[in-house]
Amino acid sequence: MKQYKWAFNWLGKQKYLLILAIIFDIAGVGLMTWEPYIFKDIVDDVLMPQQFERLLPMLGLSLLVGLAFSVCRYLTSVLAEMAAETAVVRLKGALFRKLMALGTDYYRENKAGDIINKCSGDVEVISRSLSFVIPRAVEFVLMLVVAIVVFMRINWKYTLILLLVSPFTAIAANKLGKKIHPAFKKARKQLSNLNAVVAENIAGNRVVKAFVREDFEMKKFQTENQAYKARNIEAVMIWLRYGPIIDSLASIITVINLAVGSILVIIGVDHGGITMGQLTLFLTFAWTLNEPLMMMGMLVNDVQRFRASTEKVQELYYMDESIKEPEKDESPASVEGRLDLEHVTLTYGSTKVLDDVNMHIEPGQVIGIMGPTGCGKSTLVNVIDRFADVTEGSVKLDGVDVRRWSLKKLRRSIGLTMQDVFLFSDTVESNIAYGVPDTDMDNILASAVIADADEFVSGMPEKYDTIVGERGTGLSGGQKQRISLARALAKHAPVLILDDTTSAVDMETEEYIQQQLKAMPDKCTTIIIAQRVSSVKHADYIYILDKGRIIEEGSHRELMKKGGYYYKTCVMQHGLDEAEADGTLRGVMGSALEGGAV
Amino acid sequence: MARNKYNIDEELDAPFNWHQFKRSLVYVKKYRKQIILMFALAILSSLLALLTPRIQAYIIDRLIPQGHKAIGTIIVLGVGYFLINVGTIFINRRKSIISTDTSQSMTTDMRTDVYVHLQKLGFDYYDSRPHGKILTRVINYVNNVSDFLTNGLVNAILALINLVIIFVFMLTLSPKMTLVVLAGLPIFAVYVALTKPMQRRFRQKAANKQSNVTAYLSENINGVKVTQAFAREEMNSGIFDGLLKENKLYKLRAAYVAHGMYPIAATLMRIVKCAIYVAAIYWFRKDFILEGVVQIGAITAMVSYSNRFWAPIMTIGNIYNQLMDAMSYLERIFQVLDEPVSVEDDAAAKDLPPIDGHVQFDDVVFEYEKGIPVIKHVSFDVKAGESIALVGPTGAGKSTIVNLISRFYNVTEGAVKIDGHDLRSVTLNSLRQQMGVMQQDTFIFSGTIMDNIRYGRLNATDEECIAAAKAVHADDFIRGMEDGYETETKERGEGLSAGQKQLISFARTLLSDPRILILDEATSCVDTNTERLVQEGISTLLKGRTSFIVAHRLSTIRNCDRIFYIQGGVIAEEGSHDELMAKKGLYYELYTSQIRELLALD
Repeated sequence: MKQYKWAFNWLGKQKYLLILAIIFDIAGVGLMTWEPYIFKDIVDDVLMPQQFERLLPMLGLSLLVGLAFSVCRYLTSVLAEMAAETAVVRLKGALFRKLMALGTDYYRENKAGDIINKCSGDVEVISRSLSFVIPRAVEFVLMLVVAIVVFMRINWKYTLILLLVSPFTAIAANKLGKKIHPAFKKARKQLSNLNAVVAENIAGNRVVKAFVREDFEMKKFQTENQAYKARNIEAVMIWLRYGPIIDSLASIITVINLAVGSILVIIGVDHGGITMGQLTLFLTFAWTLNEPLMMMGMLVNDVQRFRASTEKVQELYYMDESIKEPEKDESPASVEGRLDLEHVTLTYGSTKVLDDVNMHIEPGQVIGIMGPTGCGKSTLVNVIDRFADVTEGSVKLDGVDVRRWSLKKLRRSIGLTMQDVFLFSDTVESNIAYGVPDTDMDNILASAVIADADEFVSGMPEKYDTIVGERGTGLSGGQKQRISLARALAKHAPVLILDDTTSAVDMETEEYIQQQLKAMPDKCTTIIIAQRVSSVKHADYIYILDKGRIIEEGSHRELMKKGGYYYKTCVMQHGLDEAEADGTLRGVMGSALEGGAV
Repeated sequence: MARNKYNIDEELDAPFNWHQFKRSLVYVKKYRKQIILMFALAILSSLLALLTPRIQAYIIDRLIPQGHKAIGTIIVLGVGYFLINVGTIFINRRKSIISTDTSQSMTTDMRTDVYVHLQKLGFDYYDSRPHGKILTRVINYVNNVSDFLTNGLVNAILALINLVIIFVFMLTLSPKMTLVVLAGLPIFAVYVALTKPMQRRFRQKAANKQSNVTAYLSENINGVKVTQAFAREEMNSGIFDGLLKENKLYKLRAAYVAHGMYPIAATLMRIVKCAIYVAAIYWFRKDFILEGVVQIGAITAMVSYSNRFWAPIMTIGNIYNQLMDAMSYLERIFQVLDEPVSVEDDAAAKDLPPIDGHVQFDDVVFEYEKGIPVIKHVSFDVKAGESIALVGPTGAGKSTIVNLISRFYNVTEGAVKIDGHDLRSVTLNSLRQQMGVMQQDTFIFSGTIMDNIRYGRLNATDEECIAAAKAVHADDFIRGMEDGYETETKERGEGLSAGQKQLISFARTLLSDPRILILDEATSCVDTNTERLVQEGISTLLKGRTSFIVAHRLSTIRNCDRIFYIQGGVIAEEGSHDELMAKKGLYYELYTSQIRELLALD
């Protein structure tokens, strides 16, 4: 019931549509019961006494009633559907908003296929419940009440005999409900498993092909596909176990009507029986008792399906957001781009991903960050852009803890390119303008030029109107990275974070991009995370991270002198081994360093 | 290549035709026996259902007038009546069991077919549309179709049989009156004919819009971090609302037309009913008023036949709606099945025998899009066991060249040969099984890290997987994780760093023990020290294998036997590091500029 109330709320103001639908439904039932009476009158009052002049008006009346019934029926279906569809739009919209607010932790635990299912299949079940099950339920309850009243007025004892069956029907329906609920849940779960396998197969199609694993994938798929079939059949079988019992019980009513009714007629009214006319009425109206009892099972079935789906949808709708908006936005009016990381520590489970990291970055400074794989570089970006909150310490932008910034404002102030480039299946233009949808073409072009994307985009057949595939497939890694960089630049944010943005770009292009960035008119605080020395060497200051801690820091020059991680990396990257480096490069560089120039 | 995005409907080229429908019967045919059994049961239950009114009539007309002595018979007949009802119910139950099983099996079959075909489709298919749209076809559309193919079809044919039987009954009763009953049919037919194109259009639109909704949703789930980073949540929610509203619009339009079917038929039925009365009294008096007595029995019989005649028509009307729905889904499903496979085995293709790894390009031209060559007349000859580095600006065609070696695409002109075999003359499986490809986009499956490595060779032991991980120096970080090799990996490797994902993919590739190894930016996200350890680790493994390495880091490139400098779709320079350095061309420029840069400190 609670769940129905919840679902009902999604109708909002359109509740009246559903109420109207139910009213028309009831009116339809009324008209349907009236119709036989008209034809009874035609037979008794027109045909038998041969008063044919009354035939046409009576037929006209029956037609009107019939027409009215049809109209009611039509309006019921259409209004209910309109109401349900409105609720669907609202509910799906609300779920989408929720999805947009949920953090990385949610997406790590939940598979995309499963989430999609909640937002589509399950919502459709709720919608069907609103448009079909609720009106039907109201209709049947009403029918049952009317039937009982009609029957009671004729002969209450007899009616009680008829109703003897109903408790058994109730018990069977209740049992059905209890058994079928878990079956629906299982079927529902299996559908999401199937969804997940197919979704993964589609997303990983390149790897599947490269490893010729089509057969293996087929097996994985078949397991889930067959299991889905089995779960569905199981649920239907439960229904088929109880449904016939409920139907048989309902059919007892007809039998009692016929056999007991006939015997009562024979006994005669004088001895507590009924008249022939009353029996005919009973028989004519038997279906008003029968049908609701028979449909009870069907309704229980639908209600349980509805409950299973509502549970799933509610699970998502009430999911707690791990990254919350502050109660009050304390961000400054204009953003300069000063970043302070003070004793930043982040723990996942028992491992410290960031361990007491301190950085102070002035507005307009360019910072480089390097470090071995898995050292926490990308996590650092996450705590600045609040994709994760620090466990200890604080990250401050312009002196205000980022947790006290409005999320939107914070993220609008940071231009970010991510290691795992994601482009939307949309035009290049829309992808670059993603953060600033209202921007003009000049900005898009300018950003593309800085990112060195303009040249290859202009070479594409539809230029900036070319649609790129989901995740940017079809573009080379370097091309994707450059579009992603242009996308970050188009925002003109005071802070720019480039997480491994040029790893797939050749050195010359990288150098070109660096020069372009340097020449940008609006100076922004820039953090460059990279594996290549060439990417960070121009930075004002460089941090080296290892196992979540800062192990080296300084300018390129200082770090080269130091001969630590940075120096070693630098030497290796230029294809020299250490002996060679010590012999030649160090010598060259040593003198260069001492000389201060080359 | 025409690409699709979330708000572009995928229009169908072929209009609705019976051919499509007939084609769907392939799935039905397999379950011929079950369907026939369903028919038999359905006919049996309708016959039983015909018995009960007769029992009722017998009790009321014959037994009640006999008084008390008939009570025993009434009770016996009552029990018989009940048993017939229960019999009908259980016959229907049997029928439902069969139909459930059949429709579920059909769904499973159809889904399998779609999935099998999807495995054959090339990169171009996946690259040119949102993945959500593909997913919808495999899951949702297939679910929607199968129920129609079993229950819908059986009910429709049953309704037709009923129609014929009642028609015959009516004819025997009164041929003239039968004409009156039939008079309503043309009107109904006109309604159906008029609404059919509308129905089809709305339903197709609705299906298209539905697919757009799913595509947008799925893409936004995958790209949620970008959306959040760019604070686009509100705008995207607005776009999503717009898609939902469009979907609603067409769904409702289709509903307006579809829900009209029943009321129209019901109204026609009532008009016919009135016409029967009018006809009996005014037009066919001779037949229906005998000796001044109106033959009420005959009239009501005709009316009840007329009602029974229209009932199956309404059923067919309802099924017609379902048919329209099923058709729009079937068309989408067939569209996937009809998608031409761009790269497939030639009819005469033979298995590629175990190879040495001698790779030749003979004047290869390749175009993704007609008229725009990406690779322009490239020829080279790589001896077995040679290692080749491909360098050059982004988008020059390096990845395309290596993709052609695995025949992920077919060459437009020229030929690619391995050990002298033209790739088009050998089976894809035998070819790709001998190649180890590590692509730019690493992909991690959900499962465990061990599963992901083993993906390279399914029958590899744990020890072999670990050895591969050790070779690429992934062993350390994997052991450092809470559950080591059994650590669960999430969809897309969420939670692993990009470098870690690359190392796992690398181990996977090595495990497959390929003759030809292709590393496309295999270690771009890995730190230099690890990269060097990886190179040392795999150097023994690489001996004797042909390898193609696409990379930007000089340290990776320098150690290769030969270097191809790719620019603008051609090999602009080739030779060993020393040769190219001596040549003082493009490569020299690239290399020295970097060294120079390193030294240029300010």
